[in-house]
Amino acid sequence: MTNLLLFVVLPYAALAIFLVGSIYRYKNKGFTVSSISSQFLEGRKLFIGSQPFHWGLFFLFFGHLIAFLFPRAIIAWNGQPVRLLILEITAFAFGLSACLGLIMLVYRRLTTRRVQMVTSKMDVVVFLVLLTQIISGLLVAYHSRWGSSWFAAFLSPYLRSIFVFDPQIDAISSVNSLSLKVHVISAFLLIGLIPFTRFIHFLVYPVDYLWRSYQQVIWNWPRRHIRVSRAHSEGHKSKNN
Amino acid sequence: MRTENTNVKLSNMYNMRKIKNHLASISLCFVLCAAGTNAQNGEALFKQNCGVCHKVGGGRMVGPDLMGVTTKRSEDWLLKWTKSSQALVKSGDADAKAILDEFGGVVMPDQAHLPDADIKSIFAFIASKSAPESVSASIDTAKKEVVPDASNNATPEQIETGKNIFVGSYALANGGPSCISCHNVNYSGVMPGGLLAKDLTSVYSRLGGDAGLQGILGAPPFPAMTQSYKEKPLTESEIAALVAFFNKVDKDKPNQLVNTTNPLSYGGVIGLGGILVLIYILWYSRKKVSVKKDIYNRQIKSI
Repeated sequence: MTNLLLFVVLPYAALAIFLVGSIYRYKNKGFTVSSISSQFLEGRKLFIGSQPFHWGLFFLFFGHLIAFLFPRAIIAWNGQPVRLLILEITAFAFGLSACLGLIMLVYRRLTTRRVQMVTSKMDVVVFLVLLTQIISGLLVAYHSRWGSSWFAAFLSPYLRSIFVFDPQIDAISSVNSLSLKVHVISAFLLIGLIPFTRFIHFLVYPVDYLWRSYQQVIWNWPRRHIRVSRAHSEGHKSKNN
Repeated sequence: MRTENTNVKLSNMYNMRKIKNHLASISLCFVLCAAGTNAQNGEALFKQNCGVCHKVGGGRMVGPDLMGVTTKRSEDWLLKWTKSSQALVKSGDADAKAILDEFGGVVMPDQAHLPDADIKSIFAFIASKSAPESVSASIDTAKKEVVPDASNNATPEQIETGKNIFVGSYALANGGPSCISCHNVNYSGVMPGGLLAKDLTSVYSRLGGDAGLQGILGAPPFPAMTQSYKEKPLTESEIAALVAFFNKVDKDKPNQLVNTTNPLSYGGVIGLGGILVLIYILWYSRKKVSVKKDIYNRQIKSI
């Protein structure tokens, strides 16, 4: 019964809330679809925390996505023990990187007054869910190792069964590892929280920044420096007025 | 004359045997009728869900011989055990704990997915098999089934193939995942294996030799393993090679070093170091202080 609640009801509830909530927020409160950056308020600790955190999550997110979409490819790649080791160690290192970055970001919130002023209650929830998610993930990877292989073997079919509306929970509910169950449950919680928190900013990643022409931002130039500088170039006239 | 005599004797014997058979089948019929059609349904269910680890008469395999178990324990107790033996052990049931200990702590997979009616029809089948009339017959057939463990005579090539299947360098014909994903064995030349499921170093003796392992590998009774090999079952030759490998690993156990270092520990730390250095180099020249830091500092100073 509990298993049914945690591994069938919760996923569907979370996915429904995610879908409806995100569309609602984008359509009705479009300008809040952002992470509300606090980079203007504090930059150095943000760099130290945000970089390892985001690169870690970036790799792990796509790692999980690929194992979900192409389980056979992962099993084939892991066929050679050396390749399995490379994949697992890289993924674990990115996990550690995300964990370290997150701890740094929490530390930054706790110690910087200017950032505290813009911290909402939901940000605290975000930190708690993320900490649970990342730490349980690291514990699973370490204590129930070779997760990349068994994820492809029996978690991908479980996740697929959710998406084809034919949930098969025998495998996931039989697992002994508590941290794995926590990891799965908090993952669905996280998905359900997306519309209500800063998590939503991952949906509006400015992909076009990768190919748009660059803009030079000039912060605080001394007046004299501006007068003698030769670092000017012809600007483009804007097209919309 | 003589031949006629023997013929008469033979036909007499034949008739006697026929009558005996009839009697046996009639008594069996009674037993079956008493148990209702449940027992027939139960037989199929037993084969499907229990037969990998249990026999009714014919000795223990992975789990105990279930002969007479329905008279030994109450139906309520059996039902609880079948659905979740671990829950029963945890509730402090002394019998349940004793059974778990007797079988070396090998936990019986929960059968909670079966409806009560199905479990009860399995009990009916066990009860009908345990009835006195069918006992002798089942012991006879059980004796015939005993085959010597073929894996004792496995060739080194077969063991090597088994090892390669275990680590995954020999890709399984139907595309199933390698054993090392979830399991570990202590054997030279095999990298540290997975830790999600049980260590398989002594699985050969623990789960009943050739017969037990073949049963489990052919139709895995553990839900996560069932799912992993659903639609991509192991072939017979793969199973034979794996059984040979497990036999060898079990025998070689005393000669093997136990490796407890997790490659993730040092690998992860080195990798993390690499990532941090890379980030620092790539974004070395990024502006890392807030835009108005100068203004802010100036104001803080003036307060």
